[in-house]
Amino acid sequence: MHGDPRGWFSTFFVKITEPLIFSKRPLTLTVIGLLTIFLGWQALHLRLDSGFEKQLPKDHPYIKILKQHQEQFGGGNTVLLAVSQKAPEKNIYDGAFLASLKTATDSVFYLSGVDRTRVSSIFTPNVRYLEVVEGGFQGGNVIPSGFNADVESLAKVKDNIAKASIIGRLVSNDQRSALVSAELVDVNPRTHEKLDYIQTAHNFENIRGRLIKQTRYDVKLASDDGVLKAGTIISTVYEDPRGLFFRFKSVHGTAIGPSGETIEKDFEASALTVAESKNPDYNPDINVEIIGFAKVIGDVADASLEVVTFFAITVFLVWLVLSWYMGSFVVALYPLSCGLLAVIWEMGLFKLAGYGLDPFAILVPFLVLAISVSHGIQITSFWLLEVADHGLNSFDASRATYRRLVIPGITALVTNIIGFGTILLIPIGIVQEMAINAMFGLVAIVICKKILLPCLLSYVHIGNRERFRAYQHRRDEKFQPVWKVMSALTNRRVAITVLVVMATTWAGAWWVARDLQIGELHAGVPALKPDSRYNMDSEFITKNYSIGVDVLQIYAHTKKNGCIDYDVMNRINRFGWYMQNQPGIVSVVSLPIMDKQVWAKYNESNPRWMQLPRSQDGLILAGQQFTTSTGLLNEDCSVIPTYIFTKDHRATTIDQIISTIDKVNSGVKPDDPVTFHLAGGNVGVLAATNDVIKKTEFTVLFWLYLAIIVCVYASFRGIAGIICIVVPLAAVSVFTYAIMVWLGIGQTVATLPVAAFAAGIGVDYGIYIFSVLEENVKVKRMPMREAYANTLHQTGKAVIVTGIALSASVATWVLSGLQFQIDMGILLTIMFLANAVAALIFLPAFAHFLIRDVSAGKPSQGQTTVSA
Amino acid sequence: MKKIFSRCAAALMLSAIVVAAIAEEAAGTAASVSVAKPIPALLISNAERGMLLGIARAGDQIVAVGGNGVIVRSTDGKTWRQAKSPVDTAFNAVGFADSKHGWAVGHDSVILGTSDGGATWAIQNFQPDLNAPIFSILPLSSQQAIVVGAFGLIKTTDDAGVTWRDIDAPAISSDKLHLNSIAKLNNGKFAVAGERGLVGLSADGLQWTRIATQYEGSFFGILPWKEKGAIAFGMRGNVYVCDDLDAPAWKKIETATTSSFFGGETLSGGRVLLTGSDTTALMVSSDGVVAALKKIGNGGNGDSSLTGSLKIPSAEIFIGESGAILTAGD
Repeated sequence: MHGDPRGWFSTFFVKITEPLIFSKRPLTLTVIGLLTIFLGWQALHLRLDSGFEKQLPKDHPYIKILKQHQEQFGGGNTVLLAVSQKAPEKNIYDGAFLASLKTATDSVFYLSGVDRTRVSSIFTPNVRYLEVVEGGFQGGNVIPSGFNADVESLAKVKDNIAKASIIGRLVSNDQRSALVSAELVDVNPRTHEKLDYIQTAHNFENIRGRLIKQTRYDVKLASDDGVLKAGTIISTVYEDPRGLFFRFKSVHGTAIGPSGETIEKDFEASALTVAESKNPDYNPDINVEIIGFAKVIGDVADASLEVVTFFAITVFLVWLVLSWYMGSFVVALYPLSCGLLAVIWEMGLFKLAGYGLDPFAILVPFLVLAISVSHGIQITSFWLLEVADHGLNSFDASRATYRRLVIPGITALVTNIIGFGTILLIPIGIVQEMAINAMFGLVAIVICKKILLPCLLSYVHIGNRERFRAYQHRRDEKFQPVWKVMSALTNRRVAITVLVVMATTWAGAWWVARDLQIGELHAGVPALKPDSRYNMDSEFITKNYSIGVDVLQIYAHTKKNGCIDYDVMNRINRFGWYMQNQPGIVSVVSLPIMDKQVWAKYNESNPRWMQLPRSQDGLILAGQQFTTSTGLLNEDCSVIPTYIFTKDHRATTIDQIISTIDKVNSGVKPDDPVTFHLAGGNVGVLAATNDVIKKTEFTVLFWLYLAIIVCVYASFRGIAGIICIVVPLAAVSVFTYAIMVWLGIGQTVATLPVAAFAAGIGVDYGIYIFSVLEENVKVKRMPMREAYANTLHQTGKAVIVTGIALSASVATWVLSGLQFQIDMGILLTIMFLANAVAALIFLPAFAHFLIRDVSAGKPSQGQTTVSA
Repeated sequence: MKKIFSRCAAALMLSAIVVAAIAEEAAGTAASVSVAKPIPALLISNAERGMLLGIARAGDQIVAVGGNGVIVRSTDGKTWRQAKSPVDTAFNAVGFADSKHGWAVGHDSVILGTSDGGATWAIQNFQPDLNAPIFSILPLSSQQAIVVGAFGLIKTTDDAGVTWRDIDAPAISSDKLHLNSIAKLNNGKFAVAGERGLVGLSADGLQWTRIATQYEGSFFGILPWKEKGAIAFGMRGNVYVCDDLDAPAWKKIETATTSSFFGGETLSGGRVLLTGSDTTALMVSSDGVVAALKKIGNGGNGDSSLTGSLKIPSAEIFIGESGAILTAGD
């Protein structure tokens, strides 16, 4: 048995646990069954939990500054909804367009979760035009009262818009688009609940539907519900809500009760009817674009759920692979169902620990399925061997399998756990949660695969044993020539060639991988694809408006009432002026800049007055209209932010800007009247994240490989094991970095854990192959070549099938709507396959030199042995 | 306008004094205006993309000045180089007597002088306490020049700017109205234009008389017109011409716009090119005929102002809030 080179612990472990599992099988199965029901019930209650906070690298100095100022200067909880003319010859001064814009403004105003005091569009009373006339100032609402869509009124509106200084902000630069800007409240003032971002995102999407869809669907109560009468409309949508499973869903709706109270809740769809009608607000000539943090969360959540449907495809694919391999659809169900059980356990444990599903967490079940299937293959494959080669019955085969594989299996799983544990070193909440989630999954696998599967296999009734065995033999025979050829890898000359090729490819990959970028390489929201609806909308708004979607906030700290001190204001002004002309920066806004504009306005809009007044009275006059709600200053004027709008958030752009600011800061002494602090805004968060990745990249890999080396050493006691198993792993890691450079994938929060996963899982191949090979050579005393051929016969096919099954599990991620899931899918697929290939090819080459061939008296084919 | 302004200012000043007093107490030593020192301007790339307020020719160099202490020079209007400036406040105008000697004027009543065509500049006048920006400069020779500015400021120099002295001109200064522009007429006399429809005339630049006009708003610029007259332009599209300032009879030119005009340039054949808010450019022919309004934009600055222009061979450089814009022809 395998326990021999390992010492007493393994034998002891097997001796204690085997009877527990096999002699009281019904008991074991019942216990596991009950746990499954409990955890499954927990898993059903798993909820989506997207958060802004989880994505922040907690301890980074930029984030500390951001959190310090977050309450005052906002988390950027704005949503912008733009209405645009499709036809190039039309502009916004058009009756139908303005009617649509008014509808949009009203819809946004009445949306639950919107701060009604902070809605702005040319229709809202807080947007006014101001003009300087001979006698002083004159102003009014941009859309005058008594507005109708005749030529005169439209001309007046055009005039007013020019005077209101909103071109570029609420009206696009080419005046063919106008937007509604809204801020969201974190806590619903009526229900005192936290804002449901996903529902809000859907509500905004509904407004888009209201403006551009032709049909309106009123969802009504079919019968009385409490105080609400039958026929009450509880929701109006513009996509047909009736689908296959409509009866089982619930609809979120709002209605006013008879005494005027607002009733907002989920209604059972089976108690509702849907009435279709023509949409009176339909305007065929317009497009609608929506951007904002809440919309991002909504779109990401929707896309995340899509991935769930891929899970079914994945399970099916894996089942097919297993069936081909095992020669029986039924037998394939055993490892597959144990794998699914492990996933249920994992999700149940995750929920039990108090977590929710976010876009990262959704990928973990796939990984857990993948790992559990890979172990299942090894176990079932060995079991098949015992049945086919040694003619054992199911029960004895299971016991033999258990004895043989429990220790290396647990070793491999412990290595995986430690591998995932290194991901905890990345100080970003959402990633750490993913690591913990995965570790729960591994614990589940230990139970389901190591204990349950052999138990279940012992019950397998093989109908026609002879035919079954014949199939196994036939399938094995197909592989034999392949194994024979591959065993040549242990030949000295071949081994040397292989190692040289490996070294050169490694060097080449290293060379290419030097160009690996940290951070996002695409424009738009990184989580979503570049051609996603959100990113297209974002691109439209950035192109046609002067406001940017990418903003970096730099906080100037100064003494109280710094805003009426010329020296302080001038320093901030100079900083903004310096940054304004740097590459990658679109515009800069700060209180001094606004003060200058106001000062000129007070002086008949004469640009020759656009200068910061020196006197305090002047500064007071220029700045007094800016309340703290503008985000330009805090209550006592001791913090004055500068907003830098960047052209995108590519890593190169961010790096350049940050280094420029650092250079400026190096000239500032700590006791200067004004000190500048990074960083807020989405660009600030990305800068901090990139920084964290740069710092933890090396740490994660270092601890990962160290952990793997320690585990391997503990199992195999010798340097041979370490080199044979770990070196091919490292080669694949470097190779993957080169692939990332070719595919234009940057090193981000999503791709960093991939390296840990792939190495943590890929090491399994090496462990299984090496363990069998070493046993063949040392214990069974086979000559090297024969030993390897036999190893391949035992585990090689399992390795190949595992590689394919693992890749199949993650390949479906490529279909996801989330960019980072696609990136992770591509990388993991490549790494899983490459690890399998590397283990099969490089390991024997190393083994030739490192495992001492103790087969005395069998000098076949001029093979000489070299000791490690 | 000025009355409302001073009333507002008075009311606010009262409250401001209270606030300032508290602020000063709380802050300890607030930035005291009286010890203000000039700070050199930042040298940055593409400085010509910032706000420019004045442009002039110095030999074959084109010199433009503007906000944040920017002074830039070019030979073709396409590539610009920034010159070092000892102050970082906005310059409102620049003028050259010849290819070497010139002055730049602006806020803090600053006057800078150059004798190498604008490559290097030195401070000749700096009075931040006055809170009176200087708006316009008229160079007469390498030694003589006159400047006008806010609150009736008018100064002159005879020694290339080593010393500047106030001109006593009660007719145009006693009301403390802003003097926005000074120009030399075609008959050698001098004219100024300013707030409240103010126009002044002088034969030698030292003795001034006030000329009656029909307009009560601000004139931002004045240029020579015909043999003895002037064209004055200002707020809300108002343009007036007078053929003879000694016997003033003003005629309003209909411009069909309410955009204020901030800059003007005399072109060949007696034409005048006016530039102003909302990127407006308007050509006025020598007999007062107005061409169609043009918009000079560079995309995305629909409501920014132009402040001046300069003709160069086969092109026109426009300056304004969005920096220097080069257009062909015109």
